[in-house]
Amino acid sequence: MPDSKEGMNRMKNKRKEATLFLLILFLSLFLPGKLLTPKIMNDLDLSSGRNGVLPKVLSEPEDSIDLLIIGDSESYSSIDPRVLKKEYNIRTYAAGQAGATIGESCSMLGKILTRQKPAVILYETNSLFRAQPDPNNPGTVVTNTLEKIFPLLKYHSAWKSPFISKYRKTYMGFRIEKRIRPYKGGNYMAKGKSSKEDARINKNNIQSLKEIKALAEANGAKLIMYSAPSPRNYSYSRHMALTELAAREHIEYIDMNMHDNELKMNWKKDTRDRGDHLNIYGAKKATKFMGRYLSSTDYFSETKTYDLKTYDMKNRSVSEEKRKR
Amino acid sequence: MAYNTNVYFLFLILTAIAYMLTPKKYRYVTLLLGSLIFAYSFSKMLISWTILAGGIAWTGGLLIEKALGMEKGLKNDEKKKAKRRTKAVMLCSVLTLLLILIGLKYTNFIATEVTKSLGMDTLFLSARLKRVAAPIGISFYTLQALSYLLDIYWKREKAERNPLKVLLFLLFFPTLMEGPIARWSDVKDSMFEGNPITEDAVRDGTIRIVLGLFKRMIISDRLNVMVNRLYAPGLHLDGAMILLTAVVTTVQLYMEFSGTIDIVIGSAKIFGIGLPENFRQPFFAQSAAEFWRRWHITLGTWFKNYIFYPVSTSRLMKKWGRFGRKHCGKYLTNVVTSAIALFPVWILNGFWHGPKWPYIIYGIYYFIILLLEVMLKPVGAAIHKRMGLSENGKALKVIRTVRTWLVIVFGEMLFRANTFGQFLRMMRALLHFPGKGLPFSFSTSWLGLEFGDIAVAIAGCIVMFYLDYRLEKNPLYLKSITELPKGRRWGMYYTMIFSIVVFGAYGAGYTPADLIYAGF
Repeated sequence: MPDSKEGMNRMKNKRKEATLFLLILFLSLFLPGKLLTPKIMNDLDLSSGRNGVLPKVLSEPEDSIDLLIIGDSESYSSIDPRVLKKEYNIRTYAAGQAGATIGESCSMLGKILTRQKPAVILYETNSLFRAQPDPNNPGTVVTNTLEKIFPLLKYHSAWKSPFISKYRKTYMGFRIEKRIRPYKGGNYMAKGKSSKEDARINKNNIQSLKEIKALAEANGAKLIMYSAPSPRNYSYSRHMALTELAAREHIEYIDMNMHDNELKMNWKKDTRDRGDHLNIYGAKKATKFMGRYLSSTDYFSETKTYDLKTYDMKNRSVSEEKRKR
Repeated sequence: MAYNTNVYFLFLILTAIAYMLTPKKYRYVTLLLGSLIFAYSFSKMLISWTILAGGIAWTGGLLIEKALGMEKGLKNDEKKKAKRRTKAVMLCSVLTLLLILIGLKYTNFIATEVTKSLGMDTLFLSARLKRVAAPIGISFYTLQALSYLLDIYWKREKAERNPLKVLLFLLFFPTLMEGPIARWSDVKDSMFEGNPITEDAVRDGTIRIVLGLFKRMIISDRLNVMVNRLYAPGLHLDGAMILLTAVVTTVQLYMEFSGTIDIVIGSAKIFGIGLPENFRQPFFAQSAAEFWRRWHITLGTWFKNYIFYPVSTSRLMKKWGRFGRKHCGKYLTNVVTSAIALFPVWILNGFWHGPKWPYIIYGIYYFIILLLEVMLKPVGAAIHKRMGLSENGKALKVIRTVRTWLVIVFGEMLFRANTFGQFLRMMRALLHFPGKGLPFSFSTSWLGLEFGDIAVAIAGCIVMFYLDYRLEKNPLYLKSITELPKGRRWGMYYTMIFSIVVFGAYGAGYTPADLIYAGF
């Protein structure tokens, strides 16, 4: 009898201990996120450093952007707004997000279009090949619920920001990168160099593309898909898959990877990371190509008349802003 | 619902609650239902193949036992005849299981290779064969079913009367995707008892799960981004980068597989089910043979028990042994015996991993390495003696360990390569060592990782290496943590949990590493 009583007491103590442990764990996960998350993060559904470009675009003067570029890092590395403004008088914002899924781009576009009415939206296609979680998938539902209860889970990568004290230059979202790291892989667009497997686009991504198109149309903007030159990310199979998709969805599509005769990319000096992204030298060529194309259309019948010179003088101490990562 | 997803943990909690609410006698049925749901979530209707395998194992087991029973009391020719009948029943069951495995998993590969060798167009064929798919975990549960049948045939085990228990043995959800490959004797006492879920079981299981998550989320999922980029088609790497690739691949694979096994063993522990260990500090091995006694232990043990021993103790091999010792000497006999017994083990090991040339060549690679270890053993001993190196001395231990690391890292690079051609290209590039990429102008961004990511991965590896070191000294080290004073114990638990929460490679910008072995 005393043994079983002792056993019961031990069990009770263990349960008390486990409850206290879990309570402390719950509070430590719950409180920091609730107390430390700035209001803007929740209002704009931001994750640290990830879609930080959104408040920047939203802080631009209302209806002041002619051309909006969305997509992942390929988008903000390939079209230089300085060149488009100077040579074609098109005021551009590169609102891409690093590693963005097309769903994220779509959701961000919805927010941007509440303040901006661009004539053209350029969507860089690389994120069509990046898997995005299905919003109805139980895993996504559980993740979203947990992130709402414990914001710490959402912003946990914020430790990286102070850890890397490196400055990165950007202008209107475009990443100004002079570093050269050559690509040596040869003709990446040759037929038979890639598999169809590699060019598969999942149906959630196609759905998001349709939503982007609908958003653009509802706001009177012309949607154009484009593929930035990138040996790491594009191939002939992908070109074919994108051409087919664009035709099916009735979206204009420009694959710069297929226009090397005009672009004349020099992969020994036009890439910053062995053929993944363009540096400013490569971006200049890509931007001029895009500028020539856009100026040959009538999409920009009216360019924005906002007094941007004053705005830029007032809001930017130098023409190139420096953003601490 | 893979083991590294939040849905799996939700499923685990719900199954545990349902298990506790079920009367003790029927708890195994709850586990079976949970396992069927789990398997269905991946395999959909292909689950019928898994159930069929369970049916074959159950029926085959009973028939073999019955045939064995009929041998009793018989003499001479009748006994021989009865033995042949038993063998025929066993072979029939085993071959049916193997045919299903080959049919579902290897048809595409065999047909494509045959078509290619005949110089025919493979496009039409691949379009036709695309639909041949295998249920999740087929390679794992087939080996378990075979071991069950062979153990009954060799009278090590008795056949189970209840088909649901045999099915649960094959389908148990924590082990279905990546093993460990359990034998009937490993789990029969704990899996069907309906043990209650106790506080101690939850604590021990959770510690193991957290350890697995640490390995996966801090190290493997982080390095996954880098490994995928390093093996991207068309990428040309310098010699130093190839060496880095070999090391990173090995670390990522170890953390992925052993981390998943920790989650698996921890999950089973919560239900009071003890599973065999699959890893025992593999990087402390001093030879390739020892490495395979520490890495994917249950697969190595399976091949040892059901291929190596039967081959090396077969009548033919015994005859050769007697003949060889008499006419060829002990050394040559030993080498030839090892070669004959090791060859099927490693060819099958390669094939087991999947219908892909790098896997098959990976098997041959280890066959050659292990045979060389057998062949060069006397030479090595003579050299050590001449140099005055003690066989158990520290210097020799270090040399052997580093040599084994080299064997491991190049083996894993071959294992991970998309094609054998890619592996050869990487090996050729190694000749241009060190190349231009490393170390001074090394940039991490093109590898998809920030400098902070690399720092965290290295720190995580140091923690895990220290843990492996402690476990090498004291295999019960993890258990001893639960006996520490409350303050230290809780401190360790919270540190582990918050390391994962803060430094885990999850959320935006990271893609969790696939369960590599789940594809086998």
